[in-house]
Amino acid sequence: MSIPIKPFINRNIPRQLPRVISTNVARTNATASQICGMTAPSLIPEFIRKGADKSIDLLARGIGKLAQNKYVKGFTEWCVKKDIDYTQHLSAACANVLNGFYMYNVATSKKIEEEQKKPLMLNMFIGTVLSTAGGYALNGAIDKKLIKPFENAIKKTYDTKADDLMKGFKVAKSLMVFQLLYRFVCPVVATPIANHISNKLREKKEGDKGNLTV
Amino acid sequence: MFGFYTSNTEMKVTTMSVQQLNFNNYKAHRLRQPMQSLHSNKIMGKDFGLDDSMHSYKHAVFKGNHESNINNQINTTTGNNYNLGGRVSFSGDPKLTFAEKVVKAKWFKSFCEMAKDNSAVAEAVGALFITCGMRPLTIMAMPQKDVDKNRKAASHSIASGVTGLIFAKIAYEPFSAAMKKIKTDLDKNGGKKYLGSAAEYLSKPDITRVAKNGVIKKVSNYDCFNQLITYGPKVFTSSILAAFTVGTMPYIDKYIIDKYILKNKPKPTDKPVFTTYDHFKFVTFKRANQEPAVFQSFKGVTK
Repeated sequence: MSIPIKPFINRNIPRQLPRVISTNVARTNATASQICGMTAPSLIPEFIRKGADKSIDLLARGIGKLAQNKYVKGFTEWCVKKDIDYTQHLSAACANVLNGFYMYNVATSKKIEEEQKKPLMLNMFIGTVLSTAGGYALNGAIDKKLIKPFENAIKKTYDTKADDLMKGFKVAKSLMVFQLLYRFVCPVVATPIANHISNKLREKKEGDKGNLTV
Repeated sequence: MFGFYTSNTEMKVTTMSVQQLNFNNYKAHRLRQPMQSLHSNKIMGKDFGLDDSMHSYKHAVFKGNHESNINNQINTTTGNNYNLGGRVSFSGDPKLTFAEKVVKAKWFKSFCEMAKDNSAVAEAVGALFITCGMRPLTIMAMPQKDVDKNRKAASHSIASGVTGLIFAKIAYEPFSAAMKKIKTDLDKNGGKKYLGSAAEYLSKPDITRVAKNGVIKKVSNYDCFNQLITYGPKVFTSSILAAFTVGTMPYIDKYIIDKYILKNKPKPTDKPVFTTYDHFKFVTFKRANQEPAVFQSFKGVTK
């Protein structure tokens, strides 16, 4: 009888890669497809890609015409001259339009009972006002105290790209501050305050009604 | 200073950079080897000698013969390179300030670049972090008698964030793509193809200003215009976004939240739900004082 011989595999021995390949791959931060000179096939069909490219081209032409408008030109030059950071104003405007739409939706909804409409709308209104005021205050406070160490750190780590990143950081900061207030602080902090006020209003209303009946 | 296990008894000592330390720190955390086995020489082929604590480089283990190998980034045993190209974990060097730790993170660079080029999508990504991370966690941490109420609120928050990102990707991505085309045209051809006469004021160089707090600001007409185009449309379309969120929420409720997330799933109604066609089927001519079957269940639009 022949006994089958099992091959001995020592799994404890670390796998040794050729050093040249391993170092090159690790130091370039390139993907495998880039090293091999291959491009991954796109999942989107070609005619859709071409159509999208054409529509983007049309959009770019439209934007170009918009840029030639004297009011747009005047606005951009005025913003640069007066050093106005209008990202925060746009962010606040977006949130206010959104909340205004929700309030309108509540006011015209037939599913919500009339008694519940006022507290809901009051809640949204207080939340919006508090968040807008808080957003401007927080953004100003960050501009005063926190932006300097970040600027130093960006300059230290990214030499050539520091200016671009600093521009991006300023925009990202304004966006995140307003998003944090509208999406997190407003529902968590402003809602109990609004509920308290609406409860008091209701109590007052009920009290008035009681006086009338007496 | 830190050491590698190279064989049963020998060990190579190298002076390491912060990045190397962080990588090894991460590796030790990931493998979660107990202290004893780490200190003993039983582990073969594992090129680390750390304990599982956060500041593990302080407690690095030194055994066997040491050989100084200063600034060598490659482990000679495995041939692996431990230089991660600026990827630094938050549990890294305590000498770095908070700002430096944040700035060195890889997500920071990509998020700032996205905020500059495509503000609307960057805002949606930031909102996703809040709605899918912070807000659900705080909602779930709040004491509530009915667990399902919290679960529903948390999942609504996640759903709103995801729908916001999808909408932003569909609606505002073309604007940033168009602006990229304009930028390349402006750099290469002087904006002849798209901008025309507007190229004159948009190609002006950056103006440097020093703010009151000492921060150096660089502003340009192009950046201002880019911000207006990539973020401005959001002001006009945010009502559509709200309608999109309101419209998709009932379907998310019905097909995802009620089915998979809630503990006590809503029971199906006992009475069979009649469609309008069924109602007409049941219409019969009855006495004047008896209400026909169609209007028995009809309570107006609010139903």
